[in-house]
Amino acid sequence: MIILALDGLEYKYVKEFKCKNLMQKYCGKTDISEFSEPRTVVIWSSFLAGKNLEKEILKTKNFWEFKLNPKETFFSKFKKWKAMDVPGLTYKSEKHKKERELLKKFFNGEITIGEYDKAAFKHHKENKAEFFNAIKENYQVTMGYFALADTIGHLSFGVKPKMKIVYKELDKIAEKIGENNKLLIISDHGMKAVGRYGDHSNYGFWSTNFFADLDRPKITQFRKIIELCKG
Amino acid sequence: MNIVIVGHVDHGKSTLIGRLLYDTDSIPEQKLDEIKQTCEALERKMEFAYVVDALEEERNREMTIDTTQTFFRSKKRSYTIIDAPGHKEFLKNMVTGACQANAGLLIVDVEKGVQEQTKRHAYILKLLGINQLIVVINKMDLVNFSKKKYEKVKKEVLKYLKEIGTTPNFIIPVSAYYGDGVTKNSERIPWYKAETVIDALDALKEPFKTYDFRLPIQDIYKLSNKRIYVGNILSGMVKVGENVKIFPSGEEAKIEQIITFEGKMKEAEKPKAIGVTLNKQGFLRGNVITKGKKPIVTNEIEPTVFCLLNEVKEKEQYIFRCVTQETKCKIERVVEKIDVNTLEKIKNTTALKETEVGKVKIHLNKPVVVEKFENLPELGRFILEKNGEIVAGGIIT
Repeated sequence: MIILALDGLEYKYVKEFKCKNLMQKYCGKTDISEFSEPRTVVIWSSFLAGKNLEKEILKTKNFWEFKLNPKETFFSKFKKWKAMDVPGLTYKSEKHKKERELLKKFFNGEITIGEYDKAAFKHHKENKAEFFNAIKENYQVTMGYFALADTIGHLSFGVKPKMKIVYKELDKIAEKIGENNKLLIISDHGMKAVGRYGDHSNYGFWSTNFFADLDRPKITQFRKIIELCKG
Repeated sequence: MNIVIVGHVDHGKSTLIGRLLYDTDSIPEQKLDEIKQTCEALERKMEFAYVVDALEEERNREMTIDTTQTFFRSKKRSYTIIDAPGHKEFLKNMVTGACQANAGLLIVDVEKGVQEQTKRHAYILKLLGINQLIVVINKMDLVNFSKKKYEKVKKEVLKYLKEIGTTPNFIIPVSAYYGDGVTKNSERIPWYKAETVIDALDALKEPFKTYDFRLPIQDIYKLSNKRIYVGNILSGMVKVGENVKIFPSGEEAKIEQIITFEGKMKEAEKPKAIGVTLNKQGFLRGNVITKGKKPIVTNEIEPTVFCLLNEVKEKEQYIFRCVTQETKCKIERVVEKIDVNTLEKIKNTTALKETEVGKVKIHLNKPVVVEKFENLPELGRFILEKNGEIVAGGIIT
């Protein structure tokens, strides 16, 4: 099974840009209304654990550093698994921290959008290479995390033509995974435009190439579905 | 030169506008830089579709009065492309004078052929007196640049245009997406050696035509014992010492002074805003100072009316506005309603509903000064208001 974790992927853009590989056979919005705010680490950790971890994570000093024990996640049900850059588990904290710092620098007028984007694209390229190498291996479940839609979206979500290229890139990744695998595509939250910028929206995106009887599932419901895919 | 682009919604208006801008180097580099950089970073080819997306977004952002205006230059002259999301918005802007097209560019998808919207738009151009028309048969790449398919659609277009009494200046096969036939002839269309779209645009006649002096009075200022009559010159020119006639009364007077922001002048011409003093007084806002041919002065008109909101109904009262003129009026009779799809003229009707077009007989409470729309659009169009809202626009034919 493959899980494509796409941070900040917005349902409306997936539809509008006709990203058919991201939509797959079944798709919809997720319900994240149980969380006080759509926070990346909180939602991905809750997804992995199958339960709402908001209170627990917010108590920690630096929630970006929060890490679950794999035993607490659905990966515990699998013998051979791989999770790349997944928040709350294998998150490459330093790289993401740098990106957040660049965002601050942009708003302080120290760097341009082009310079900010450059780092995001570089990180994406590295994750992509790592991901496609991993799916060649025989893992029972491979989870790849891509922050591109969210990172670029923060400064450019309102610039639709640019976001369309970003979404087409993610659509291409979904296409390349192929139909031989069970594929779950999931986002923690979507985005909404604030002028040219983007802010988190209060729902996420899901899609599958297999029937899972979902309408507007909670992010915590997926643990069971993933475990059932073990067969 | 103002060109209105019309046609069915999916027949490629945005792509053609994008192509015209792109191929005439009318897009500032920085507008596409972010898109180019994103493509490069994600190792994607910079497709023309992205250019169209970026321009469309830009145009949507800049959309005003329900219409976008895009500017570009050929080697010969500058153009403004007027694009409205639907014919209703276009009509509203044309009849209210928010924008003024001098020629039309009708786009038809070669695969889909003439659609209802194609017909409606072509007919509206006709009704608005836009007599210069370029027909672009688009998406030729989808039919492998087939001459046979082009000829078939061309025949369809010509048949309809003949029915409405329009003769197009050009019918051009193009692929706006790939650029064939837009600014250069294409090897992929070897059977078409005539004008490209840009050649055709450059071949259109300049809209400017001279017309006799017309100055509707907008305001009247007191200057000791004199009155300054202020307004915008709609057409022609005027000199100090010349005799003019002021309508609707038709009274004669002499121009004593011409005053502008720059000071006193000996003469002034369209489109200047001026003030004039006359050797006679007592004229009112809405009166029109004229020279030359007598304007139409009437309190009965039978114009073509476009209903823009709710309905225009027989026996109902409206406010008539034409430039600075304003008077109450009553719809005496809806003479006929025109079905713009079938061209059928429907008699025995008492109202025009929203988006409908027809001939209407209007009685005005006081005489107005107008011109035929084709002679002087500014005095040839008017609006009808009810409860402070524009419910219809019309043109004097």
